[in-house]
Amino acid sequence: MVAYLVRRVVHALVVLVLISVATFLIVHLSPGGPDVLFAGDLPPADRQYIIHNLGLDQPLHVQFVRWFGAVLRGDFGRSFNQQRPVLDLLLERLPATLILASVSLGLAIVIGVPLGIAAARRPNSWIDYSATGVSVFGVSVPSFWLGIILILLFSVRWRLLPSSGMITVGAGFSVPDLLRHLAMPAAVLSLVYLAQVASYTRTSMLDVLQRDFVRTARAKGLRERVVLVRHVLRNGLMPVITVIGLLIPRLVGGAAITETIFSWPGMGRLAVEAAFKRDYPLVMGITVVFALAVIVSNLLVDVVYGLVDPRVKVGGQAES
Amino acid sequence: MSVAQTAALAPVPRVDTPWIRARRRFARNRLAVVSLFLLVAFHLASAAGPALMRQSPFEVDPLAALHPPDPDHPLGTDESGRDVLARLLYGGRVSLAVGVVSVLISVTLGTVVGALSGYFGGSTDSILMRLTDGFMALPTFFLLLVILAVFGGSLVSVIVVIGITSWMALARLVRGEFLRWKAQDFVEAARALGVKDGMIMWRHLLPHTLPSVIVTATLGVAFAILTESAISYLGLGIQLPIPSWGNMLSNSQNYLYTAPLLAVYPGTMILVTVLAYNFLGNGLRDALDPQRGP
Repeated sequence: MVAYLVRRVVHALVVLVLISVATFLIVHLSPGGPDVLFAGDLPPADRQYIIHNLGLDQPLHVQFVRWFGAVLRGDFGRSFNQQRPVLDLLLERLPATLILASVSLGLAIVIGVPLGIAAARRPNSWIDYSATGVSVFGVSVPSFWLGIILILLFSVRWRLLPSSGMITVGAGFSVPDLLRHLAMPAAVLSLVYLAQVASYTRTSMLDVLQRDFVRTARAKGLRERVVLVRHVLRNGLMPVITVIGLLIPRLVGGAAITETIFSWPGMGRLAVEAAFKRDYPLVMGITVVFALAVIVSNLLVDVVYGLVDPRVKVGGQAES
Repeated sequence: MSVAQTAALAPVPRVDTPWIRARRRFARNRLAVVSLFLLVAFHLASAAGPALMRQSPFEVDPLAALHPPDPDHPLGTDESGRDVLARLLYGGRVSLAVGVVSVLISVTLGTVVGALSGYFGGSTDSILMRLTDGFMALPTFFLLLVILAVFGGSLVSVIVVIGITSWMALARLVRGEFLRWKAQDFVEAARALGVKDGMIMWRHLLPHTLPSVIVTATLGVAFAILTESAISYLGLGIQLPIPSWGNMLSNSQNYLYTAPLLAVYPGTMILVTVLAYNFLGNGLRDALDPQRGP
């Protein structure tokens, strides 16, 4: 188990470095490079001065090492646009995104897994059809379109929920207020993951329910409940854990759209704004933080996997 | 002699090829068949439509802005007086092209990586799979935003970027199939006959991955169309005046109260197309699964 974890952590670090290199290269190899934006129309001398000041005249690898070294010390540089340290901006926006993403992922699991199980237990029943319906609809509907429709209905027509922001301005913080603001963004963000979790759970459970050991368990007279919990769920939910791990990177991207629709003050919206304004230090900082979040959550999934699947402890990662 | 006689007497049993059986299973799935017809219709309409239309999708007519449907403009006009039907057809061409071409890229990448990884194993496998893991861990949607912000949103950049950020799942699937089939006797036999590696992969292993490839590709088109609409919504995708369903939908937001239909048309087209591709993909998955009945 320890060796397994050490190997996963080393992989994670390699991936993190690769992502940093990739981001750095994308930004620095873009047409004209980062200097073109803010030094574009200046006289050559001033332009030279700015480029030199920002260290953009150094060879690429020197720039990268300097930037990455600073990142390791927690220094992401200053945002071009807001003239503030990137780290401050990130930390300011982080809680909002964490709240939104974790609630959405939680909803997707808490609703999606039981839905998938219920569907698999009674194939071709109404609950199976509705689960399949939800699954296909969930992965097919453009999330921003759904968001706009929800706003039109719940905020504009019925005036039930606030259409934007995280708290009511000037009202002070309260949990009910937060929940009212959270309802629509969380619903929109979780739908697509709920759909995928439900459909993977269903497939995996159907597969396990046909296995011989389930028949044996039933044949020896175990109660259906025990069969389900001890034999089917343990095996059937393993692939679901993997899928949840794979969904987390997408959750980050989904957050960018959802936060933009509902003006949720999180990192996703910050990322979109930064990308728009070509605020390179901010863009690079967000990418690294997002990648880190994804890698840490994947690592957590690996740990859970190691705890649930005894094969992992002995023979390395179980092949799916 | 007696052998020849019995052979002549016994009726030759008709053996269906797996493809024939798959087609039969597919034909029984009504939802998938309807989806297939719809999609063929959409593709044909958007391929031929713009050429048949009298109105141009680009012709601006400020005096006729936001007109309701009339005989001249069957679906009305948008905020610049451009014909909505013409833009919807032309936008369909753009959106469907993004879906199909980016999937061609991702399927090619995924198949090649998975095939090399599964066939050669060893260090090739470790390197390629680490690369795949790395890409899978990427917040691809955000990477998409960064690349498009840096290089600018155009038809080509949107297609290429979606293509190179969505090949990983297929690479894993193809690798799994290659691992499974390369251990079989017929591959061993081919190798003993001196068949080259490339030929073994192409002729003997690749066909086995076809069901996975087809299903992944179909579902991939749906995902790519959705992705295009999402980045266009954020303003980083295909740029106006070139219409795509995504940017038509996002643009229509400004006129939600005055002309809600502007949002309904492209939204419905995206939803129906993506739904149809998903139903088709699920239908194909069921039909191509050899473990199912005849």
